[in-house]
Parts: sequence; structure tokens; C-alpha cells
Amino acid sequence: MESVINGVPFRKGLYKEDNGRVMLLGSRCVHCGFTFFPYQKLCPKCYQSAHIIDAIITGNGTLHTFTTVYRSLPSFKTPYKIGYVDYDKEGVRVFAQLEGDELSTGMEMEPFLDILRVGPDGTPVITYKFRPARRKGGA
Amino acid sequence: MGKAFVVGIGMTKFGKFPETRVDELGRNAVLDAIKDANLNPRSIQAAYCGHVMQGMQVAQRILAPLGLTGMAITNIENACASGSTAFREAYYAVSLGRYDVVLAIGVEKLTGKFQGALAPDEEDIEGSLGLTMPAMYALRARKYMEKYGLKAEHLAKISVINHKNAYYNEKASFGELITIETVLNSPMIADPLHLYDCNPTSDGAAAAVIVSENLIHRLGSTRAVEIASSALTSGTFEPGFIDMTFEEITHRAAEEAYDAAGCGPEDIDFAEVHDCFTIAEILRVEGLGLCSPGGMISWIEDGVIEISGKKPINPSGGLIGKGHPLGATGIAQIHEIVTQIRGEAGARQVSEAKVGLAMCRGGTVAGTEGGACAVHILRAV
Repeated sequence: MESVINGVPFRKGLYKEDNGRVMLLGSRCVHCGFTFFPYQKLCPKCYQSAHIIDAIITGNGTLHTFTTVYRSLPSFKTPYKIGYVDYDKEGVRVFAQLEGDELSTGMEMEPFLDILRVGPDGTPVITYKFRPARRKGGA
Repeated sequence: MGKAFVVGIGMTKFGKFPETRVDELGRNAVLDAIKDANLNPRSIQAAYCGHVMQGMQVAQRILAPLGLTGMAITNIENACASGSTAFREAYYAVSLGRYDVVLAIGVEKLTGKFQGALAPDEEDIEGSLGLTMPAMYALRARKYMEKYGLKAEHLAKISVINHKNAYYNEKASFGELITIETVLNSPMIADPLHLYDCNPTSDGAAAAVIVSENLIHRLGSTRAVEIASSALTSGTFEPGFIDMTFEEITHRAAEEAYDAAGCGPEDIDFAEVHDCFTIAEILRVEGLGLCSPGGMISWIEDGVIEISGKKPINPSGGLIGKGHPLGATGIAQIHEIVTQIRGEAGARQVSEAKVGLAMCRGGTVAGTEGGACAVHILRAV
């Protein structure tokens, strides 16, 4: 597995990447049919853990809503864009930073890895972000 | 369950007070409330204090120099709904018969506590990726605009009204007679929300004395206001897509509060709602069922929510006009409801203020529509 970007993830166990293809690591309750991201060990509907399996969310999603943030915490460099991207088939809504100048709701978005910030020791902290899809239909 | 009444209220002016310690702010509000209640401080049997960032046992620091010691003192954190949650605990402590006289306190000194915008806990997944509170509401504003045709001018009008109401409130620091242009020309915080769409960071404290029905007869208080009901909800963790234009958490709290008070939204004469941002006021009023989803647009245009209108919202100036010292806000809302029902609100008095509703929301937690929502209904005795 080769990564196109080096650094430490902002949180462990949320994603993997193979040569630019970003996979979000979720879970699914096969009893209730719900998919979760981030990974859930327990289904909040049936309160069972026995029916939970791994679910990988990949490919393109749809932009639900977005904003440009001009004032934030001192640890974030402004302005930056954030929003929610929906994976309709899985029923999963993902919060992320966004790139792209002309965003509009309903737009097809693709995930990619990028630097969220640089840690105190100079190590880049990596996150998944979304941008308007270059390849329609996703990976 | 017995009845409970507010017999004393007090609050500091809300604003920026870098020279005043948080315990002094709290003490000033407590002294005002005790004086207003006209009872012996020694009769207070318990205290509940809401705050978010004031460190360990701020209530004990407030109360010790007053000799209000030895009793049960509980400090409560529930984000911006901390004060309301403290008020609820005080209400239940009395109405369930545990005590006859209790104190509810809300206090916060934010000056010097944080920079930039308020945000979810940094370990929250969305908080760690750069979600701030204004940004959260900006995301919701965009959906609401798309769905109902709300314009930036409608949002700005709410800011104009709340700043005007605060102008007539001596406890508010941000009262100002402004125009829609003032709002639209102020710096952008998170598109489409401008600086004047957001509540200002503040310091302040508020307190209330709550007594049992048993005691109220002995006190013979003529200025008592009954607490008709209290509801507190948290956001449900829902898989799938939630509607960002309707507050399910608020709706659930309101239904519970109406049910317990034996009334409906049509019986509410006026309300103090958690207008942390202009779009938030819209979502609150609709979530409370005071008007139908999307209905706030015409209510704003027709002046329904102004003090002179049919359903005045935030006659105190709200969070936008008063400022928002997190833990103090919920009790400051109670302060306004009681002041209005007593008919003591002066230039901002709502006519026929018999039943008032206070609604406070706290926090955001990834995966839910909100952290906490408290609704209290108070009515004239």
C-alpha cells in the first residue's frame, strides 16, 4: 500500500489510502442495515454489537451544505472551507474541510488526503478532505 | 409533585469586565436575588450553579464569603445550557419536596478564556477538523435559505430587533440602534453569518431564589412567579441524514414542557430563546412550535417577533443584544421572564405577559443534532 502523502493522521483508524484512493473506515449493523462513520462498535438502534461488520466508504459523495470560515480558533489558519458530504447509498454524512473555489450544494465531491496542520515538532497532521470530483462516479 | 416559585432574581450587567473576578460577579447576582426575595440568607438550603469554564467549585468560591456554607452545593456543566440545567435541578429539588428554599446560579467569565470563535471540544471529531459554533450555524443557515428562500436581510433584521430590545435593557452592554446595512456591512465570520449575526463574548452572572408552595404562603410574596414546567433533552444519535433546518431536540423538549404545564405553544405570550446566532433564533422559534417550519420569514417581515408584535421573542435583547456568558445565560433568561411577568420591564415591557417560555441550548456533539436543550415555562400566579 503506497501513500501519496506523509504524516500522522489527525485521528487513528478513520481512513486508509492506497495510491490516492481514500477509504473511510466505517461499520455497519447487518441487523438494522445502518452504516456508521466513524466506526461504531455498538448499533445505537438495536444496542447490539453482535451484528456489526466493517464497512468501507469510498468514491464520490454529494455536497449537502458548506461554509467558508473566516474566524476560528488560533490553531486554524483562516479562511478555510468546511461542509458535509453525503454518501446516499450508505446513508452516511461526513464532515470535512473542503477545497474548491466554486462550491454548490448537490455537487459531486471526491475525497483526498491533505495536511490539516503541522504539529509542534514539524510533523504534518493529515486528514481526508473533499473537492469537486474530477472523476465522475468515483473510484 | 408540588409547585415551585421564583421569588427572587438578580443579575449583573452582561459585558466585558476584565477587572472583576468570576466569584465577585456570581456574588453580586446572588446578593441581588436574595435581596429581591426579601428573605433571610440563612434559609437557603441548597445551591446549584451552572458554568462551563470557571474551574473547580466556582459556586463554593462565590458563596463562602457570604456565609452560605455547609449546605449541599452542586456545580453543573452542560455547555451553554449549564445555567438552565442548574435551574432545572433547583426546581426539582423544591417541587419534589427535598427543600423549601434553594438558589440557582449561572456564572461565566469569558474575557481571557479563549480567542477567535467558540468551538466544540477539540477532541470532538468535527471540532478537531475546524468546526466552530458560528460555522455550524452557517451550515444550517445555507440549508434553510435553500429550502425556504430566507435572505441575509431576514437574518439581519433579527439582529436589528435584538440590539434594539437590548438598548432598553440596563443589564445589556450591546444595545444599539442599528440598521440592516450595519449587519450586512460587518465582517464575515462564516458565510452567510456576519459579525452582527453572532452573539458577543461576555462575562456575567445571574441568580434565582426558588421556594416551595408551602413557604410562599408564609412569605406572602406578591411578586412570585410559578415555574409551570421544566424539560431537558439531549440530541439523539441518529444514523443517516438529519434535517438541518428543523430542531428535533428543541421540538422534543418543547412538547414535554407544554405537556407538563398543561398548555400549548398558542398559550405562550412571549419567549426568551437561545439566539446565539440570528439563524438560531429562527430554528428555535420553529422548533418550539411557536410557528410552522419556514413561518419565521413572514414573522420577521411582519414584526410579529418584536416587543409590539403578537409573539415577542427575546425582549431582553437575547444573547445577541445582551452578550452570552455561557453558564449565566439560562438564568438570565429566567430573570427576563420573571421581570416581564411581574410587569417590571419598563420601556421593553411586553403587554399581557402572563406566560413566558425560556429555551436554552447547549453544545454540539458529532452525530447528534445538539448536546442539550432546556425549556422552562413560567406563569403569573
